[in-house]
Amino acid sequence: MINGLYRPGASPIHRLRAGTKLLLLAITCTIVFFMEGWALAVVPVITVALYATARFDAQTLYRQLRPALPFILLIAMFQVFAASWVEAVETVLRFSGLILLAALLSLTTSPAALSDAMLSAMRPFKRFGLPAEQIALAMTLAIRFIPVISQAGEDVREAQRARGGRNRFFRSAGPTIIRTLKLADELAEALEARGLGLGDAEAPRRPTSAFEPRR
Amino acid sequence: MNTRSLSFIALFAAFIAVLGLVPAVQIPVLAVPITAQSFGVMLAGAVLGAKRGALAVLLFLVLVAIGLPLLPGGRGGLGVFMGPSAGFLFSWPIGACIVGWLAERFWNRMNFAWMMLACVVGGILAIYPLGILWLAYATDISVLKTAIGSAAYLPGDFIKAAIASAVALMVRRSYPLIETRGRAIS
Repeated sequence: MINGLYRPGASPIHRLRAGTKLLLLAITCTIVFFMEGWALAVVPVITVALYATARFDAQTLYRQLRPALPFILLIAMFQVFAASWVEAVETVLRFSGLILLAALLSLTTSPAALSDAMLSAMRPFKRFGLPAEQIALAMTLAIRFIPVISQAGEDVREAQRARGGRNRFFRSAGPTIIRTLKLADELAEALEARGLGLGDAEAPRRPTSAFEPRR
Repeated sequence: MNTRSLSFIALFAAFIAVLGLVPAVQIPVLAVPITAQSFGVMLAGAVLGAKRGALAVLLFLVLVAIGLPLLPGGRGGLGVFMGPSAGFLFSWPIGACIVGWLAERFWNRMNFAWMMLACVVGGILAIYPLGILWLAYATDISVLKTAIGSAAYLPGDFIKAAIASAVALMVRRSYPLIETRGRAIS
């Protein structure tokens, strides 16, 4: 099972349904995005309270913010000179809040639960051409392809080294793609042959989850 | 959509994810590192065409959104779609679509110049305006100033477009996947 950024736990936030959390996040982020002035001071308070409820420490919180921090501070510095320090503070509060709230959802919800929530939300739109099953299948295949491509790239670079070429990443990109395109082609054929492809209208069982093993 | 196309879409989504493992070029002055992933976006369009290219990039973004750490430095989750530079991310599928649309148009008379044109128009000209507008709107900095700031990434993106064009031509010779009207190449 792939966990990604997910940190398992038993807090009330962990136990909320993924779909509910997504909806709450969408509403909160829209509000935060358009908030101005002193009201924004509430955002860090609520964010810290939510992280505490989910039983994450300050270090975990900081780690969510760290990658975006240089960029946010750069913009804030710019705004101090171009506009006013009030706007700079607003920008820092707004974006750190948005990023932390969204990160909290990723920390407390497994990728499997999130993709299930997304796919089941999509199901009613099937008649408008949103094929949830196909998306689930594509997600499964993509996750499976990641180590395959890494390995193929490594093989190609090793072969190029053996032939005495310089070991540059981009020189290996073409052969790697051609090699893995063949694999993808064979995989599609194998899926069709087993009646799991899209060409077969009466496929016995298509995966309804991107993470469940196929039976 | 057939199984083969679905498989190729998944492959290129995974390819963009693998490109995130390539160490990012960190330039001290710039807050955002130069990564190899926008190279994958151009390549997806140039190899798969408009529809499949855009879907591959979209699939990659879905995988990031559900919390897989596939962006450089192990970033991922919904948080990355909230930052001030998220506009560049959102414009990736559109960029791949335009690269692919142009590649389809140029397919029968394809050479390096046409491929490069497709990559530059879709991978740079289509992505920058959206990214810059989002950044300017989100931060209240004027469009002109954000544009000047973003221009620091242009040289890197032109190099990536050139490499993407060369690689796409190589793939076109040995594994052509775009079908032109009237005459199917397979």
